[in-house]
Amino acid sequence: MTEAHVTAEELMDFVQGQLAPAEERRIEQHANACPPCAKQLSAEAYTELAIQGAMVNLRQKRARGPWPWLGAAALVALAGGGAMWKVAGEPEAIRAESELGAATKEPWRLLYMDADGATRFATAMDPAVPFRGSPSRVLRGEPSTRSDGAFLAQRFQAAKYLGKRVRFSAWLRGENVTYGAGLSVGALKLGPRVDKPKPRGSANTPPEGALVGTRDWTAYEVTLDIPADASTITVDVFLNAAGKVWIAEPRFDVVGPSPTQQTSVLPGPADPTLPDDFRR
Amino acid sequence: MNLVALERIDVDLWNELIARHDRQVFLALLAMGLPPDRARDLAQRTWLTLMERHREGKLTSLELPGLAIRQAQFLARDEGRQRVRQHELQRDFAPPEGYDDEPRVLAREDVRTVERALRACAPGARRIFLAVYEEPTAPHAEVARRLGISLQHLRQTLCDVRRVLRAALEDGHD
Repeated sequence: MTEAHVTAEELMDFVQGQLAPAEERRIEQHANACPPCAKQLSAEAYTELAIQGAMVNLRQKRARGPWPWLGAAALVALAGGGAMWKVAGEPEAIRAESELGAATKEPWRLLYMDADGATRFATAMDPAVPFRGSPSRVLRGEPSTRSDGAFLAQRFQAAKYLGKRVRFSAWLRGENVTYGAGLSVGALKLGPRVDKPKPRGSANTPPEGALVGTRDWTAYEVTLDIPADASTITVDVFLNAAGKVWIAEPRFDVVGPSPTQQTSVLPGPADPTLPDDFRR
Repeated sequence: MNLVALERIDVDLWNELIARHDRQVFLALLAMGLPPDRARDLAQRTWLTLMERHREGKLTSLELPGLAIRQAQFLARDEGRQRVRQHELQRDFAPPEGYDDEPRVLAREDVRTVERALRACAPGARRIFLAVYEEPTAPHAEVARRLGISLQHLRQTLCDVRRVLRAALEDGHD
């Protein structure tokens, strides 16, 4: 990096929106290539947001009005509900096959968004919170100033599902979940270099539908059309930040051919077997 | 807060809402530690997602910029998971580059920290600082003219106060 670093004054002007577009772009380009300046920019952006929050509070105190966007937006309250992805009742199993049973021998893996996630996130079977008579699995995140998360993930070969619409579903129960928990299904393509997998689509529980706070057992599902060139499918249950989420009856089903792709393969029969890891 | 009546949103109003709130969405992503290019990209995807959900009738309310910021932060985390998934395929559990810093979202306590630090500033400096933030989009030169001070004095004061506020925030995170 031969170009001079961004000055404190320039950073201030940047986050306050005082710069001309060309100048703003120059600073962005520099920060994109200069980690120290990117870090400074991030800190200035955070400071700016905190100042804006303080100013909102100040105006509130003057006007004695309601707590504005900051309280809801920047802190915790992701809205509950979200009819577009949440299904009332048991996930439909007709014309479906379950991948998360005998076909998947790999245990669920706990992955972290952050290097020290292992110190704050843990998972275990929880006989104290059964679902339909079977123990559930709990994923727990300790409260922290960090806002990252962890997820329980499985992956398997995509070959059987190419050109099909698949659904990942599970029952979730939450306790004091701060930034949302939900499901995700993704497709990846392994190229000539196995260390450079390419994303080929994913579907996630959206923020307005994520499990936030404390909620009893609720059925969740996400669906994805698996492209013809995918090689690996990943499914995961994610927990952002802190709280506890219990998981029961995870299923991976074919719900039909993908409407966007040609396929003549019919879905197989239903198989509600849980992965061994969820039974122990 | 900007609670928008969903039924009256058309393309023009979307453009207006984006113009008004995009900067805060962008800043929220930068504050999470994303580089500017990715923050711009995610901010754009955020608005496209919201517009699509609105078109499909899936938005029950639109409170801005709150909803957009939450959506953007959610997308950022999703992107993070995607990277971890890819990384996990490499059988290497070290976090991928760019996700080893602490992603931050604004904490209520930090807002209080700024309020306290601001109250502790000299009255003159605080007056200038507050005048700037009363109209954050106004050019500094215009605010300086209105206050009857030089632009240089205004900007120096602004820099000094921001430095104090940032130090207070960093102290709070130690």
